[in-house]
Formats: sequence, C-alpha cells, structure tokens
Amino acid sequence: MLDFLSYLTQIAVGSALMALALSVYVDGIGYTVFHLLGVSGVSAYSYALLTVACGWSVPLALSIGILLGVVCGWLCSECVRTLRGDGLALATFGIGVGTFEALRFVRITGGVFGLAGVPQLGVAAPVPILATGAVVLLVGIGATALWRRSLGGAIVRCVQQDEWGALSIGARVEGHQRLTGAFAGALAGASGIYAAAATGFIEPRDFRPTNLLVPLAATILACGRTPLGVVGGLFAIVLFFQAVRFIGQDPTTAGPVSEILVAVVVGMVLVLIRLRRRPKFDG
Amino acid sequence: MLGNRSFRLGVHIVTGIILCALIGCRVGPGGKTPVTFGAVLSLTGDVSSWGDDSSKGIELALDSANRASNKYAYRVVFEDSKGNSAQAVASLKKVLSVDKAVAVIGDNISGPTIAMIPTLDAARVPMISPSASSPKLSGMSKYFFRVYPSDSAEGAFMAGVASTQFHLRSVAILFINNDFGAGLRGVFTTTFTSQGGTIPITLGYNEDETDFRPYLARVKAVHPEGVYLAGYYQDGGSILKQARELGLAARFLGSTTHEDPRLLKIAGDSAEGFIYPFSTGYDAASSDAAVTKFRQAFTAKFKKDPGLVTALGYDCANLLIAAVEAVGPDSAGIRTFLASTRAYDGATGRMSFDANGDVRKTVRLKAVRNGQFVFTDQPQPVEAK
Amino acid sequence: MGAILGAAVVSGSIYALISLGFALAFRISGVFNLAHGILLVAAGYANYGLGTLLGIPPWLSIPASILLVSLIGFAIEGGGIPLAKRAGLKPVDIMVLSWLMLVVLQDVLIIIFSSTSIYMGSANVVPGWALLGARITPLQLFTVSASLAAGLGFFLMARFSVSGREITAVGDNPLLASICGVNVKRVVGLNAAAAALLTAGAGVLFSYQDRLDPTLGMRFSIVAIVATLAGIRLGPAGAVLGAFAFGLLESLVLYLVDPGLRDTAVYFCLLVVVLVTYRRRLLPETG
Repeated sequence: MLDFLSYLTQIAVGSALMALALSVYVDGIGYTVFHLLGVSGVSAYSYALLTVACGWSVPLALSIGILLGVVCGWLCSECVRTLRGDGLALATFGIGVGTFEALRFVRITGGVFGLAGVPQLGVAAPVPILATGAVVLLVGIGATALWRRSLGGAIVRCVQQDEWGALSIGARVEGHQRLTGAFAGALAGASGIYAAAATGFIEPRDFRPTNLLVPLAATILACGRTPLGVVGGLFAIVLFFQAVRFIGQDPTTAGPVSEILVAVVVGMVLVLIRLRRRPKFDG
Repeated sequence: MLGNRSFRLGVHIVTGIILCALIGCRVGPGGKTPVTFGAVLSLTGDVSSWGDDSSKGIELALDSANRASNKYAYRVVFEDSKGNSAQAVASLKKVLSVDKAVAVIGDNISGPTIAMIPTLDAARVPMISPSASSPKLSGMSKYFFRVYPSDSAEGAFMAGVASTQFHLRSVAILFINNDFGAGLRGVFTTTFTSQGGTIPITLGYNEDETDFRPYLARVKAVHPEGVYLAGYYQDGGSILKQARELGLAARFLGSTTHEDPRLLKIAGDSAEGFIYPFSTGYDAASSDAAVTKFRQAFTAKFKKDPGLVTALGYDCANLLIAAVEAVGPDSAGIRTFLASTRAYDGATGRMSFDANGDVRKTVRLKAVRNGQFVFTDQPQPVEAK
Repeated sequence: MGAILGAAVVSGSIYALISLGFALAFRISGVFNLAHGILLVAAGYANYGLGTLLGIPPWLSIPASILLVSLIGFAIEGGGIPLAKRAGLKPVDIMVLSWLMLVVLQDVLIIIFSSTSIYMGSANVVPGWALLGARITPLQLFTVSASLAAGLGFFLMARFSVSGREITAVGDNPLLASICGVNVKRVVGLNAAAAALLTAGAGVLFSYQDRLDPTLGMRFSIVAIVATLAGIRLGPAGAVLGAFAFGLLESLVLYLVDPGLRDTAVYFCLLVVVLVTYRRRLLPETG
C-alpha cells in the first residue's frame, strides 16, 4: 500500500502544483493561459543542469529554479498584458510551445535526449517520498490560499468580475497581472522541479502545452473553490486514470479512454459553471 | 456487543473470507505459484508497431509456459511507455511497487530504457530488452540484459561494408533524433572515418517528421556517394521514396530496423538496391527446432506470420521463464541465471550474454531485390560463447 | 530556390484549403475552433478505414469519408458553437471546449487505428512536371488549383454576391441581419457545411501526398488560425493568401535555417500574428 501511495504521490504532486498555478490565473484574475508548462520546463531544466552538470547543491538549485520560474512568469505576463480572452489563450499557447521547442533545440539541455540523473528531493524510499510530497503540496496549497485571502487576491478577483470597475476604484491592473504571472510562475516552476526530481529524468516532451489537460481539468472541476478543492480534483483524476487502467487491463486503450472521459466530464462542468455565472465583460 | 452471538459469527465469517482471499492470492490456478513479470513497452506512439509485435511474442511465450509448467502460473502486466522516458519510469515504478514484478521486459527503444536503469538498480530487479540497442546501455547496469545486439556491432559493420565492399568515399548520414539513431550515427562515423572515409553532412530529424525533402535537398547539395539511414522503416521508406523524387543518386544503406514489409509498401520501387545489416538473428526460413516451434505456435494463435520483433519479445519472455523454472521467482536468482546464460537456443538464434549484458550475434548483409528482403552473403557459423 | 518555392506552393495549397474552411467558420462564429484541424486528420483516416481496411473502392470511399467528416464538422461549427454562443459562453470558453473536442476526436482515432500513421498515396514515384525548378505531381497540381480556385471563388462571392454579403452581415451582427430579413440559421448552416467540406477534402488530398498521424490535428488548427489572422483584412479569401505566405515562410525556415524547426515556425507565427492583429475591445487604456 505504501509503495502504491508513494507511486501515486510522485505522479500527482507535480501536476497538483501545476493545477494550483493555473488556478491562480483562472480563479484569480480570470485569464485562461497555456504558457505555464513552458515556465515549469525552464525551472526544471535549470534545476537539472545546476545539479547534474554544475554540481550545485539541491537546495540552492531548487531556489534558483523557482526564482527563474518567477522571472519567466513575470516576463510572459508582460508580453501578453494587452491581450484578453481567446487571444491571450492563443498567445500563451504560442509561448508555451515556443519554450518547448527551444528546450528541444538547444544542445545544453541535451536536446531531444533529455537529461538523466536528476537528484531526488529527499530519500528514495516510500515513506520519505510520501512525506516530501505532502510537505510540498501543503506549502503549495498554503501559499495559494494565502494569496487568495490577501488584498492582492481580492483585487484580482475584482478585476475578473469587472475590469472597468476595478480600475475605477484605483486598482493597478497591470501590476496585478505581473504579480499573478510571477506567483503562478513560482508554482509552475516548483511543479516542474518536483516532476523532474521524482522521475530522475527530464526531457522536452514533458513540457508540451497539450500536457495541461489534467491540471486544467482539475482547475475547472474545482469550480473556483479552495486550493484544496483543486488538489483534490487532481488526485481524483489521477486515481480515475489508474482505475480505468486496472479495470480495462489494456494499457493501449486505457489512456485514450480515460482522456476521453475526463475531457467529456470537464467540458460538461465548464459549460454548467459558465451558465450559472452572471454575464461578464467581453475581453 | 462482544457477547452478541450474531456479531461473533459475522466476525468469524469475515475473517474466513479474508483468510481465503489471502490464501487465494498466494496460490494461483491449480495450486501453482503465481509469478508476475512486468512489460514496459512502447505500445503507443511513434514505434507502437514494435511494442505491439513484441507484446504478442511475450503473450505467446507465457501461454506455452502456462500449459507446460506444473509449478508456476505466469502472468505479465503490460504498461505503455508511449516511447516516452518519463512515462517509462512511471510505468516501471508501477509494475515494481504495485504489481510486484520479479523481472521486467522493456523497453523497445533505448531512450526510455536508459531512463529506467537507475530505478531498476535501486529495486534490484532484472530487466531484459527485446530491441533497445544504444551502445550506452552496454555495461550500464548489472541488472540489464538485451537480446538485440548493440548498435556498435551493426554500425561498425555497415561502415566496413560502405568502405571496403562498396568503396564509398563519402557518406551522408540521416539519423532519427533519439538514442538509437544517435548511437548508430556515432559508431558509423567513428568507424567510417577511421577507414579513410568522409562524412560531408549529418542531419538529425525528429521522430514525428514525415517530410524529408528539406533534409534530402541539403544532402543532395553535398553530392555524397552514399547515404546512411539510422532510423526505422516508416521514416526510411519515406526517405527512400522522397529521395527518388528529388533525383538523389546515391547508394542507400540502412539498419536492421528497416526490415519490415511496410517499408516496401511505402517506398515501392525506390527501395530497390537498399542495403542493410541483419543482426537480430531471426531467420524466418530457418529449420532450427526453436525457430520452427515459435513460427508454428504464432501462426496457429494469430493466423499470420511472425516478424523479427515478435521473435525478440518471445525470446525475452522465454529466458525469464527458463530462469524462474531453474531458480524460482526470485529477482536476484533470475539476474544470476541470465548473466550465466550460454548458448541458449531461441527463436532469434543461439544467444549468450557477455559481462555487459549484451548478446553476441553474427551480423549479415541483406538487400532489397525485386521487392524482397534477401541475404547477399553466406551465413557464418554462429559463435557460442 | 526552386525547391523552396515548389515546397511552399505544395504545402501552402493544403494549408489554404483548411484555412479557408476555418476562416469561413470564424467569420461568422468569431471563435477559434481548435478542433478544426482534427477534421482534416479524421477525413484522411476515414478514407483509409473505408478504403484500405474495408476494401471499399476509392470512388466511393473518398466521397463517403468527406461526407462523414463533414457531418461531424457541421455538427460542431453549425450546431455546437452557435448553441454555446447563444447560451452565453465566452469565446475563450468555447475555445477550451474545442480543445477538449480535439482531444476526444484524437483519442478516438488512436483507439480505432492504434496510433498508426497512414499514407494513401502510391509507393511508386510519380515523375510529375517541372515547375519553378521543382517537380510537382498531378495530385499536387490539382490541390494547388483547387485551393486557388476556392480562394478566388469565395473572394468574388463575398464581394459581389448576395450570399457573400449575407455571410458578412451575419458575421458582423446576426441580430441586425435577422431584422433585415437574412435567414441567419440557413446562412450559419450553409457556411458551416462549406467549411467542413473544404477541410475534409483537404484531409483526403493530404493523405495521398504525405503521412498522416492522429496527433497532427493541433498543428493544422494552429496553421489555419495563423493564416486566417494574417489575411484577416481580406476576409475568408485572405486566409488563402495567408496560408501560401505561411507555406513560404515555413519552407524558408526548413530549407535555409533548420529542417527541425517546423513546429517552432508555426507557433512563433501564432504568437506574432495574435499580438499584431488581436484588438482589445471595450477595455480602457491603462498607460
């Protein structure tokens, strides 16, 4: 049982942090973005290179990695601050894929071959893995919850509801866009580093924007509720994938079937949520 | 409540059910001891045909073993790596931690296989690959074995063929951007240049590439006498056809992975004269007992002829089964058995593992002639070490 | 240079057909339908399934597969998207839903066809004709001609015919168009059908020229979006010009820079065209 839980932890915690990063945007300022996997890739590769190639210590490389995530998140938000809605989603999709292609092309990252030997965060045994995963998750949930409860979090929700109104009461929309980008970047960076450390291996394919399906699904299923709801939704989806695999016994169809079911359910939930909300500004 | 008779009866019933379940778990059908193998293969993705073919060979071997064995009930848990290293590691962890596999078969390609090695070492479980061929894997772990020869054998062989048999002085290289292609490229380049040849251009293409014309235009611009393709049958077939369309006149050389009827279907006449090494040892026309038994069993079960990757998967599974029958379902014992394997007769010929876990097989030359894959040289005596 | 131009024209023609279909639908719906590209892939696979697996002759399998996939496209563009808009969903939410639809259709193809890539063309090399220093086969020439004819046809229709003006009217303001007597439902339906037919036809043509893979749907959708936005000032026909321009840019990158940068070129163009052409509506200046 411990083995199974530690295995689940390793595959789910990284995605849970990514889902939290997405929820900072979607449930906070109300933007749908697709660049966060690219940001997590930059952090993950920096962690891997600093530890494997440069021999730096894990805590230092981890800090630098997350800092890079903050910087990249902020920069991306700068690039697209004039966009909204579907234009923003498309532009961030382009940024995300561009980052993935750059990681694939540049030799220092190992190109398509990736990098092996990425050090774990902690000891590679079931109990320490569970403990590390739990700590990482709690920190992510706590940070997101604090953000939501803060004045900044309240202001970005005002921006989501009514950008005109928020401006009229003196909210600095651009500043909050930057803060949102930076905070989401930090969470995305942590997600990438955890995932790389969990497998001990990293390659560009891990950071394609199309891999955002599960974190986005968890964010949508949480229906704007607490960060715990987002993480709970993510774990429910991961368990669902595992359950389909156990029931079906055929690995070639279990993956696609699970994805189809998740996509259908998430689509329905998205429609229901949006129909229930009040009409908002068109961006 | 404890004095309640119904409650005590219920506790006894539930305890009995749990005990039966536990006993049932320990003893397989017919009182045999259950043995679980894991198989982490590329069942979807760019090389899904290899994963699919090798899985059929594995299933065939287990079916035969379950009929023949009185002691053990074999089962295999298939996991899909999708040709992706991270997914392969996750799948391996799952078969080790959840399914408690005593040994693992996988992966079909070198990248995911290399990624799985550290986890294998930590778990001390042996793994045998049907088709991973990167030279990096040689000696990488004492728990890793493979029935497919390292690229260093066929890469060096083809470089020798290019320079001594066909007297080519310049050969361009087109390789698939993964560990397999990069491994072959490295070995070919080193050997060919050491024999006085030149490599005017080396181009890597991504696994999902379908249009090779931009690559071939660059190759054509340097006027090579030969072009060495380090990839699979799908891209090889497209390259051959598109090269003919572009009018690229050079001798094309390839790798063992190009032998597949689908290459001829894609390339048609453009494949005529294509030269490649045959290093896996599977000869469909062989009359050896092991090969005949495999071929008959496969045809009876699947109603079609087996291919070389199926034979490789079959041999992997049979080696693990032979190990369990000899030493029991113990990972350490299985590893020792595999390491000491000498002159094992499988569907892909006689095999022995060296100290690096590599298998030694004779490399022969084949060509496409009149729409068929034919040997162009005489068979050499098989070395038994 | 001839090879570059030849490749640009050939790839541009396929992009033009799918982009024209996307642009027609986008003109009315205003939604970036990410599932559009998977229709091209599905048409190719449908033709493969009917022709190769079931043995139906090409004269039947080709129109059948185009019709089948067009129905799916019509259901999405002519039914699903207008319904979602009427229900009050925002364009970004419909775009996310279309991405989910792409995932579903892609996985259905993977389940049915086991991730195998397909190629319907002949194994033998067709000599073709010399054009601009490159060789072009009869099928490629047909595709180029079809795309140019479709582009010109829709351009003339949009400018000079009643139907074209109706499409423009419905795209600009469906309520006002309805008040002025335009049958909005008929226009939306016919437009969606035309868009789906063009895309499905492009899919069948592509499957005879190059290998098709279930995962190519997203790339074709993005190319269609790039081409549509690039030629947005000229309406749907501008998407044809945008597609050929993109084909040229892609060929320049492939032949002169690095052949491995195909996808990089696509997504970089996406970022640039969105930043350049997208206008923020109804939001205040923030300085």
